[in-house]
This record gives sequence, C-alpha cells and structure tokens, in this order.
Amino acid sequence: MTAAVVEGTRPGWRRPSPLFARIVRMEIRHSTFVWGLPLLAVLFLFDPFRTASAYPDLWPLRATVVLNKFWPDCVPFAAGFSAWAGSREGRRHVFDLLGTTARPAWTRQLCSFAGTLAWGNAAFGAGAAVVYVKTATSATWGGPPIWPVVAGAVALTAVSALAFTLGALFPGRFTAPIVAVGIMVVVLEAFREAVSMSGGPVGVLSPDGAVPPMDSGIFYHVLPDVSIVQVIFFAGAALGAIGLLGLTPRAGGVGWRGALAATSAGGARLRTLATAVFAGGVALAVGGFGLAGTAQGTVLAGTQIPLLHGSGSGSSAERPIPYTPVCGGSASFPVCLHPAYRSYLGPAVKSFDLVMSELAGLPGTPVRATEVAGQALPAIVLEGSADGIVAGTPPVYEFSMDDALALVPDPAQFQDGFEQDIAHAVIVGPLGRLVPVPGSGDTFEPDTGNPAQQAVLNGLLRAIGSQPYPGNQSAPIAGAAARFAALPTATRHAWLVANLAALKAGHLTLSQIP
Amino acid sequence: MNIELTNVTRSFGRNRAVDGVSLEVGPGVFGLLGPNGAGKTSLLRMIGTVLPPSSGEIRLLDRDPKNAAQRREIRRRLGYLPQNLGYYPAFTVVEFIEYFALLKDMPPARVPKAVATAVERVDLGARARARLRTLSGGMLRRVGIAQAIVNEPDLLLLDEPTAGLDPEQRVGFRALLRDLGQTATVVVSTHLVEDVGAACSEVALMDAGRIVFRGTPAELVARGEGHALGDAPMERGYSAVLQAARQGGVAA
Repeated sequence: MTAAVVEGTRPGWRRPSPLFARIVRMEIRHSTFVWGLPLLAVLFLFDPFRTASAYPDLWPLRATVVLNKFWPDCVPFAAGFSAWAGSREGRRHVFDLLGTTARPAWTRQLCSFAGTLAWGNAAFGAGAAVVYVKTATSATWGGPPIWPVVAGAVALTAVSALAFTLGALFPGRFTAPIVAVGIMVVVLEAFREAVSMSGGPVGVLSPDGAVPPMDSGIFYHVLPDVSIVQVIFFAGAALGAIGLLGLTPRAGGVGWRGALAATSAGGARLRTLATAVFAGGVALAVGGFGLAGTAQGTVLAGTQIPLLHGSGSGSSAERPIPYTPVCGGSASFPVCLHPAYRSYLGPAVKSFDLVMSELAGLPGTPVRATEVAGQALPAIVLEGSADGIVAGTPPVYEFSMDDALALVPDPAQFQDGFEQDIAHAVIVGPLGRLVPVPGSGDTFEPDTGNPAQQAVLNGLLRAIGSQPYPGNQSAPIAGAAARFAALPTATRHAWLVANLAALKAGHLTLSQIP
Repeated sequence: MNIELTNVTRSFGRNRAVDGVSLEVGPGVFGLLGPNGAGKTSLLRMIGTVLPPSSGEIRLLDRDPKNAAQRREIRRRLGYLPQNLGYYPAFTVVEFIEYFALLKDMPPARVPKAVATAVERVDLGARARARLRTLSGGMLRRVGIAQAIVNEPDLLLLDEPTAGLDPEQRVGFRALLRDLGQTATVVVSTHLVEDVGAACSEVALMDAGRIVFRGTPAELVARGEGHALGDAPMERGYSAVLQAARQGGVAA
C-alpha cells in the first residue's frame, strides 16, 4: 500500500487539493475588497451599529439591523468588487496566457471569486458579530438569532456571484461601478418596493425588510420559514450564476465561436457539470420563489410557508416560549416583566409610583401591572395608541413593553404612557370602542370623557408631572385642570374618594371641580 | 515530432491569417521569422491551443488538441509567452510564476522549487518579492519567460521573447534557449534575425500566412548571397526570400 493510500485515498474520496487552497489564499491576499473595508466600516458605524445601539437590548430586535441596515450597505461593495475581480482577466489581457494552462478557466475563476467572496462575507459576518457582541453585553434573556446572518450571507453570496459573472462576461474598467450601482438599485429598490407594497414572493424573499412581528422571538417562537426560503432562493441564484460562469466563452477560449470550437480545457465533462450547476441553481431559485408565493402571515410567529411544515397550520406554529417573569415593586402593587426586559424593571416600577400614590384605594385602580405580548392585548389598545389596558377583577394593568418602548430604550418613553392609561381607566373608563364600518373594517372611537372628567384627568396628570391626555384642551377645561392640579395631594385624593363615582358616571360639571 | 501541422488555415472574417501551413518540428530551437502581419502570432496561438484552426489538422506532442483530455495533457507540458504579456500588477514575481505553475497542473509539492529555479534562470532572484507593477518592461518580459518555463515544458512557444531585453540579457537569453532546446521543442517567433542566427537550429520564414522558407540559419544566409538589401548576411537572406516569394515563387 502506498503512502497516498494510507493517507486516506479511499475509493470515492479525495483529499481537498492544496492547489485550490494556495490559489484562493493568493486571491484573498490580492483581493481589492480590502480597499473598500474602511469605507464599509465607517458606514457600519454610522448607520447599522448606531441604530442597533439605540434599540432596546433585545436579541430579535437587534438582529433585524443585520439584515435591514448592514446587508444593504454590503451589497454595492460585494457587487462592485466581485465584478472588478470577474473582469480582471479581460482588463489585464491575460486570456492568451491563461488559455494555455491546463486547469479549466472555471477553476481559476472560482478561486478568484472565492477570494472576493471571503472578504465580503467576512465583513458581513464581522458586522453581525459586533452587533451581537454589543447586544450580549447588555441583553438579559435569549441568544443571538443565527438565521438572519445565514440568510444575509447566502444572499450576499448570490449578489457576488451574479456580479462576478457579469464582470467576466463584460470585462471593462466601467463594469464594476455600473454593476455595483445597478445591482444596488435593482436589488434594494425592488425589494424595498415589494416590502412596502407588502407584495408577494419578492417581498418575502427580500433580506432587507424581514422585520419580525412585535414581541416575536420573546413571547413566541419565530418561524425560520422566511429565512429558509431566502436561503433556498439565493443559494439557487448563486449556483445559477456560478454555473453560467462555467458556460461563458471566456471560460473556454476567445470569443463565443472560439469557445464553442475549442471548448473549455475541461471539455464536455466540465461543460456538462457547469450546465448541471446552472440548471440546478435555476431550479432551486424557482423553487424558492414558488415557496415564497405560498407564504401565509401568522399573528404571532411571523410568516409561515406551509410546505415546510407538512400539513401544519399557522396556529400550530404559534408556540409560546416559556418564561418566568421578573417582578418588583411593593406587595400592594407588584410590577412584572418578561425577563428579556429585566433591565427596565427598576424604571418600570418607578414609573407607577406617582400615579398609584394619587389613585390608591380608589375603585377600579389596578392591583398589579403585568407585561404581556403586544399581540395578546385587545385591538383597541393598538388603535388607541395606548401601552396597555386595565381589565379584569380585581383590575390588572396589562401592558406591552414593545409598545411602551417603541424602539427607544428610554424609560421616559413609557412613564407618561403608563400614567395616562391608568389615570384614564380609573377616572374615565375604557379607552373607547371599535365601531364596525361596512367595507373598511373597524374604526376606533376614543372615549376622552366629558369636560369634568377631562379636567380631573389632566389635572391629576399635571400634578404628577405627566403629559395631558390626548384630546380636547379647551380653555375652561385647562383652567379647571390647573386648579385641580394645584390642590394639595391629600385634598385631591380626598375629593376623588368622595366624588369619583359621580364623576365617572358623568354627573359632575366643570364648575364642581375644586 | 512534437509539432505536426497539416494544411492548417485560420481566417478572421475575410482575412486569412494562416493559409495552408504544413509543418513538422522536433526537439531543438525553431525560429519563426516574418514581417508584421505574416501570421506568426496566429500560428503560434494555434500551436498554443488558444486558437482553434479554421481547417487542417494539428497534433502536438503526439496528441490531438481537439480532444479535451489530450489537450489538457498538452497544456501541462506547454510553455507560452504571448507577444503582449498581460499580468496582475499587485502580484509579486514569485506569486505570478507560482500562480501559473499551479494552473499548469504541476504537483503542488514541486512548485516552490520550480518557481525558484525559473526565477534564477531569468536572473530575477534579486526582485523575486517585488510587485510586478514596480518592474521595468525588460524585467516583465523575463517574468513572462519564467512563467513559460516554470513547468519545464516539452513544447515552449515564445512570441517576440527578446523585445525589451538589453543586449546583455539578450545574450543570456539565447544561451537559455539553447539549453532548453536540448530536451524540448522551442518555437521562437521573432522579427530579429540575429536571435535566430544565434540560437536556432532551424528556421521558417512566413509571409502572407504561408511558410515561404524552411531550413537552417546557414541555408537562409546562403539565400542572401548577392542580394543587396540588408546589413547582415542573415538579413540579406531574409530579404531575398521575401522578395522571391512576393514575386510569385515560394522559395521553400
């Protein structure tokens, strides 16, 4: 037995040739992508990183930045430098020299492509890693979502492969900028248009715009269906472009006629392989596109592709993620949050202190506050632009931190909202009602209360330093509210204890407000 | 025979660049002379398997280049220096030659030594780590020669190899050619007749796509006896053959 056999030349198995590794290493060392990295880094810091840092430290939310912000930044770089690498042989007039070498053109072109792709995907991966590391330092629950990174990397590979092939087909010094701008406009604008129009398979396939529904990934599992379909489609597109590269005339000779006459160095077998890769890629891309066309929205788990789940339905995919809430506050008014929002527990507890001190002991005042998924709240909450609702017996304030934060990790964002929700519920009652309108769904009719209720509500909010409740702010109401706010806390509370029932029933007028 | 051409033609549109050339060449240094546009480069590109013939048969190293597997075997044993050397400016001398060695299917383990040998043979050892963009035209020509000989080819095709070389380098290159010609078939296309006289054992002269003379350098010199045009004996032979061919008779 020879040494080569001992080293592992089993039938049907070959060690990877160091030849490819050496050429790819050489191509990586000389890739022009390196020159674009500083600019890409600046773009990353300016937009994706800044945006991610400004978001609440929730894994699913921060992960959206990788696709919605950083992926679009990477596209023109990947396209431009890949097209530049693809057009190299033509620009440098080395066809004759390379045409006499034994290795097929496809081989060396794939090595060149790999050199550029390595930089592009490394840059994308590095950006995602920075976002994730930053999130890991502050997130209190969950872990890094992998699918956005995988889908983005595969989509970037497809963009690079297409651009490289275009560069090889049309070599020239202007090819790279034209391809970079062209692909950026076509890919990004087409995708964004489709997403904004909530339109069909193109919208589903867009890596730029795959925003998960509220609280998904925190209260409910997010289905990876969209990412899987994106990977299928873009992997197919990448293979199609790579196969086309193997079928181009440049791969085999000089000019179409020369190529057809001489065929590539690998001959018919290589051409068959290139054809198979091309056909397989196109089939995969068409399959992915077809699957995207069957997408169905689910309320809690994002977009579902039924074929990926056998006969599963949308509701079966909406699986809640078990968790143990974290609670704080006093025994008389505990405040509980999902552990993903643990870092907001202190500010959340504090944000209820003032309003609860004003309303303690009044009928209808909630006995605790509990965070729930945004989708679990009645539609009236979203329609009324509230953060939550007081409901049940005994009354409980159920709220959504997703709504309360509105992507801004600032407790000042939610303190006013919580105070308004609770004060309105105790003094006025329900937020309003949904009125069915034939042909156009429901319309929200807010219940802002009568003038006396508005004056007391806004006076109380003013007294605790909160914003007035949205609605009528006429001078008489504002004057009465100012008078009520100026009362000592004990006087105000005593008046409410004595008059809340009549006020809530609508029996009091502005003149009766102290 | 390492090169066997039978009635080979190559047309570009209506222009017939190579017109019915038949040629057999064995080991040694073979000079291909001719004026600009005679068809030397087209013939060399066909022998280099870059360009397929419009008609006729080509066999190289006892193999048929139309067959993919045989063409690949030919290319493993082929060295080629085109008239206009394209190159990648960011590559170093060693990297560029290594790149071609790998593409020529050399066993990777042998590549580093072969590259070092080729670099030394063209006297570029001192600039081995220099980027190609920093080299002079003559040095680039030597890099081109190095990549052509790195695989120790059995068939070496050189198109205007001495263009850009200074006299000292040219002398050294001729010695290299003679050395290579000991074991391989070396075809040198040139319009510099002194290169042919100094290094070639056999010479062919092309004009208008045809071979109008084939013989030894001494025979070419003999054709020029009594001919007035030309400063050197071989130049006079060159001019005499061309004049005869253009007057209607193919001299060979």
